[in-house]
Amino acid sequence: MTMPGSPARPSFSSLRGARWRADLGILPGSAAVSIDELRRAAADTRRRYANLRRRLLIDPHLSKDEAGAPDLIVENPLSQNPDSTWGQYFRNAELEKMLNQDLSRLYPELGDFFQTSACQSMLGRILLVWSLRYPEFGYRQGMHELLAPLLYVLHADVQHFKQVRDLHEELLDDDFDGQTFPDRSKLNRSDRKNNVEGRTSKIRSLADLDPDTRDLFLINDAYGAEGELGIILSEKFMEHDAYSMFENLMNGAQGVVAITDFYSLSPAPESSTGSTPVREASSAIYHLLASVDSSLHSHLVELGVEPQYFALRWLRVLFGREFSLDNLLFIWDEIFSSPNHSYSTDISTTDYQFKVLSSPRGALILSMAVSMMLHLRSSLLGSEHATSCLVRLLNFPEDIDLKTLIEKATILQSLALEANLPSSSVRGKSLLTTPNYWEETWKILQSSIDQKGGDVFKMKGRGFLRRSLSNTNTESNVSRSKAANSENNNFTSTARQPTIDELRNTNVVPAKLINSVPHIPIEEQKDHIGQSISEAIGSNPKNAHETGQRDGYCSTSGEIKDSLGAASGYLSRSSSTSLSCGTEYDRDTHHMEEPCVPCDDNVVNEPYPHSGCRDRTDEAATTMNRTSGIVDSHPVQQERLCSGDGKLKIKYDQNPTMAEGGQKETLVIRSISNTADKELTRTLRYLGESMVENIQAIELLFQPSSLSTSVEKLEKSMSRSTEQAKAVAALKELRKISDHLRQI
Amino acid sequence: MAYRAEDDYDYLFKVVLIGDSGVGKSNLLSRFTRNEFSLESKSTIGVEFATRSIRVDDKVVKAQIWDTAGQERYRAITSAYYRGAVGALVVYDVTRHVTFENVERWLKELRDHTDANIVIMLVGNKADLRHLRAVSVEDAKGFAERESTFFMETSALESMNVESAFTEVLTQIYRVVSKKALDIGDDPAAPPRGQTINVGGKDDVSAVKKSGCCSS
Repeated sequence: MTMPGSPARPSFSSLRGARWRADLGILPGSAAVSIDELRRAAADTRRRYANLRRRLLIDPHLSKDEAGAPDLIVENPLSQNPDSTWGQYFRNAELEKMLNQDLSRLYPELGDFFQTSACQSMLGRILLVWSLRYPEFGYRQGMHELLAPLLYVLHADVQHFKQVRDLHEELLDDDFDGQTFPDRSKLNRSDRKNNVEGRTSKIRSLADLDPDTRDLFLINDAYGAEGELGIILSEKFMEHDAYSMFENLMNGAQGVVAITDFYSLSPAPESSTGSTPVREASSAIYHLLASVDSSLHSHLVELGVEPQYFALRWLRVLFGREFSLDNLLFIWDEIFSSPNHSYSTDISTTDYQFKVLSSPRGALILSMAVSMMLHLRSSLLGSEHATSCLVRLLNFPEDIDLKTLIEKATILQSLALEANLPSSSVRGKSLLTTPNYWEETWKILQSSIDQKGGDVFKMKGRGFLRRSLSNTNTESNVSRSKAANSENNNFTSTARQPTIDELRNTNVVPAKLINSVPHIPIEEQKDHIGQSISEAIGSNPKNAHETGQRDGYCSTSGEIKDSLGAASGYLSRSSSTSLSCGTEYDRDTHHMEEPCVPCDDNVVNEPYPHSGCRDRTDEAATTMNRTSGIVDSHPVQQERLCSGDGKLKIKYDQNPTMAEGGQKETLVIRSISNTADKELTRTLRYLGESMVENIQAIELLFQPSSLSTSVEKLEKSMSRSTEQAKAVAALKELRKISDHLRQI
Repeated sequence: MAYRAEDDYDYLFKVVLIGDSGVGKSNLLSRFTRNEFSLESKSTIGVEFATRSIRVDDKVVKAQIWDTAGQERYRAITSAYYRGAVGALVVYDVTRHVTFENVERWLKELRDHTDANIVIMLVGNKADLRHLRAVSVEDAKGFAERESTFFMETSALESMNVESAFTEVLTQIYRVVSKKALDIGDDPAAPPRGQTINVGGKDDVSAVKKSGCCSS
């Protein structure tokens, strides 16, 4: 689950609390850091909290003797002076009362832990110290629920260590305990005892333990650096550690996202409209939603569902109310492991459209929100009133596929980061004439969420797309892209011949599609994708050959999948009914594609001298790479991003005549395609059939009472609302498409 | 289907629940909308929403109830929270006098942000805690009279008067609305005066629904 931004820490692999401490900046984040340094860092933060607590939690009954006698005119319980120790004491008592009222209602379902008096008083003290330390924020409802999981994971760490320690009890017995780690001679001497008792005879010394377990003992050794204060997983200092984590989470630790912002009532400094940061963030959520699903966005806006009504709670407790604690921890894993610094160092945060979107962490938080909204898409679209939408948004279903939800969020995160760059609007206009580029991109990504194979060529396309994007960012974009273009052409013309020969022999269908791409009247940039795709094939005849040999079916299904992707995209765009349709299609497709997987893996991993390497360099040049490869080091994600050319192929399917437009490749294509047609037809028909099945499923959903549903019937019974009418119309349309497909 | 049942109403009213933290607003809401009560309910963060339809005369009245966190009195949620509200329950805890004292501030905020015709009920909750009572019925009644609001003591725990409190508010709104189109001329966000409030898909303006309204 660790994101590339924070290096994996093997010693913390099973220690969520320690990992979060590193992610939140309490412990050194680098994996290279020594155990002694870790321990010193832990000790420092604990000292800090101990000092704060001593200073802020005043007991006026004590501590009067040292600094001499107190001024009894100021320092007495009846003093009206608000600065007096007693005045402060009473104010603290007020605050404590409020804290206790909220804490007593904290996680009642996990009362065994959270409702114990030890836990309650720890949480109370931490919140009290924090709100006294930061009086400008003070305690607000919800903060206690941000703190609680932090203490919980620290507790889990300690429990984990106890278990491991019990397993290796013999290493920590008296014979051993008198010595400082690492004292190997002493350790070895303890062999005798082990042998006598015959217990865990394999592990005789610390050196025999696996590295993780050894580290675990070393970070928790009471005789290591800083002694007891340096024990990383310490029950005694859980309160101290939780405070430090909470503090860094709240103030963002010099990063972009500070949770206190979500509680703030004063206008955000970067806001032009003078609205609060939480409203700014809420608008950013809608902004992001609009860019990936404009129909859902406009539906909510039409109904007057203001995003802050639900986002306020989502953001203030970081989704703590929307998920069970177990699930929440996984979500926080992702959030915390996303770096909180500005995504692009050479752009000031004020230049971003939305400040909160300028760090990977902020982008992930908002993407999570959008992912949740997309999960509720169909029920939201089915709601006719703001309140019903809000009821749904604030009662998130419990039986969710968390993995998919997070996966979608991480895909959205990269879109969000890129879309938020100051120049992105310019890019969007100049480069991509599609009315809503990000929406298209998202739909394509979305539809390919389960796809593992068939993306070899897309790989190239994506590289090129990215390159074009980054080119426009520079002043010389025109000339540069022209240069790139001509370079491509040169390269392609020399490389194409062998490719085509190869293809002719092996009947690879994509070649047809790829070569036809330039005929499609779509913007220039996308043509390049096609070119670079064919170039990719050309550059590696062996590769193409391989692909072909695996058989034509494989390639065909790759293409089918694209039409499916588009079909489901189309569905979700125009029918306004259910996103799940798309997913169902994907599932079907996935089956069809299984055989492709090995061949694709092969190809992807092939280090081609031309295209492969160059693509990688291009990638490096793009902004996506600036933050330690959020996107690029996620292979799965990359595959999805790659499918940018999916649409092109579909367009070809729909307009076969366009390919006949009189370019020189057409002849070749035809000869190639003839043999593959059978496969293609078969698959298309299959596609049509599965489409009908899915349509029926949707229809059933609309009218569960009658099993023999027909679109006409539906239309009668549901014509009351325009939304429904739209959905029905879309279904009709889909029916038509599937009929066509089946008739092929 | 759920969403079709949702359509089966003649009137749609937005009602807000306000009052100090911990007086039991969320439990009143859950008791009324789901007949649930929990001694261990979590504190509300931001706003929560629920709906329930009841029958008044021969009409179905659908209530959209907005429940806000007691701590949100400083309007983090923005005044949009009150927009379109035609009814309000101002809740205090009969065992904590300070929550009763704060009712005045809540009323002021409410009146600053809503139409003059709004139906308000003062609700003294936790009436089951008789031995801990800190606010007398007489005091509360007197206050309600002065402020010309309705008044009722409830117990969400014992399910006492909860139904009647909400029903009373909704019925009163219904009476106002069915006699004359609610005058909302003072609200700049509202449609022009004289026109029956438009629902037009936006439900944060509560109103009479579709065809049913104008004929009556």
